[in-house]
Amino acid sequence: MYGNNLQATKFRRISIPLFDQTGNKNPGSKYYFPDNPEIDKYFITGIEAHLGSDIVNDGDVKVSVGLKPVTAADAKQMYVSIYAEDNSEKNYLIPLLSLFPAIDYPILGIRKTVKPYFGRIKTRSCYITIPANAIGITEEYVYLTLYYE
Amino acid sequence: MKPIIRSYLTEVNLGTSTPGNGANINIKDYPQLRNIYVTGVEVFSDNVITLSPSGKTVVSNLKGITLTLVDVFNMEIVYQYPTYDLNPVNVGGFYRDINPFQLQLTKSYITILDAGALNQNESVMINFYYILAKDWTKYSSLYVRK
Repeated sequence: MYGNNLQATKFRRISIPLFDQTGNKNPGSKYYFPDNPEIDKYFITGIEAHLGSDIVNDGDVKVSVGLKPVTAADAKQMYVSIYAEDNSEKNYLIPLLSLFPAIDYPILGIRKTVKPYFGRIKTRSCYITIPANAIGITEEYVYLTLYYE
Repeated sequence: MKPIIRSYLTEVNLGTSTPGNGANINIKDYPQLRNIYVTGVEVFSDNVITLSPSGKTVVSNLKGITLTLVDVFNMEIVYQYPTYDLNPVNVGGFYRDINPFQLQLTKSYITILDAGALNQNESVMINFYYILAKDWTKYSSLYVRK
């Protein structure tokens, strides 16, 4: 992938719902990743986010009806925190949109780049946060692809 | 781009009144960023983040803002670098690699060169890529110039 020299032999997509079991959205809360022992066993070499159709030509997630991917506008209010295998803060508050590799160029400028986040992580400690005063968040899912070796 | 071992998003708030041209605003203390080697940096405007984690509006224009990074020996290793060029949106999605040095965050600062497009209480978001000093020997080979 452009700009990322790290090799990945496997990748896995995970989804994180941004609402609780009753369907309520609670900005200010943490939305934890699902536990994924498979990913935890390996070294992460890149993380990529996928968005819905707000960005022309680049809405790259096709999902089942009802599993709505997060929009670009909403992604600008969301942050991803990644924790290391020893539960220490590894990547704290990564802007979600910065993980999206293909925003229209040159209008917004980002090209096909997967940043080389590297190391072992503990998926069940990682989470998405949304500021308490965020607006317009609906029942959405964040889709991330984790590349690993 | 070099591998990203750790990163931490910091926020520099412009304050309750719009800063004047030439004003320096120091980055506040983040305990997690003491005793670190900084390996890269990026700065975001509202085309990537509209709302900071603390709920503040993010600046819309970085063209009048520069960044100075100071090391533990009080040397200005990065001096008045244009933050516009540190926004990955403006440079093909890349973050800026830095030859690693021990950062002294509380003496590092942003400088407002042109406050025209800025408003009070907006925030500049700076993302630091780093290695803990205690991990330097473990990871330094990833960052050696070749």
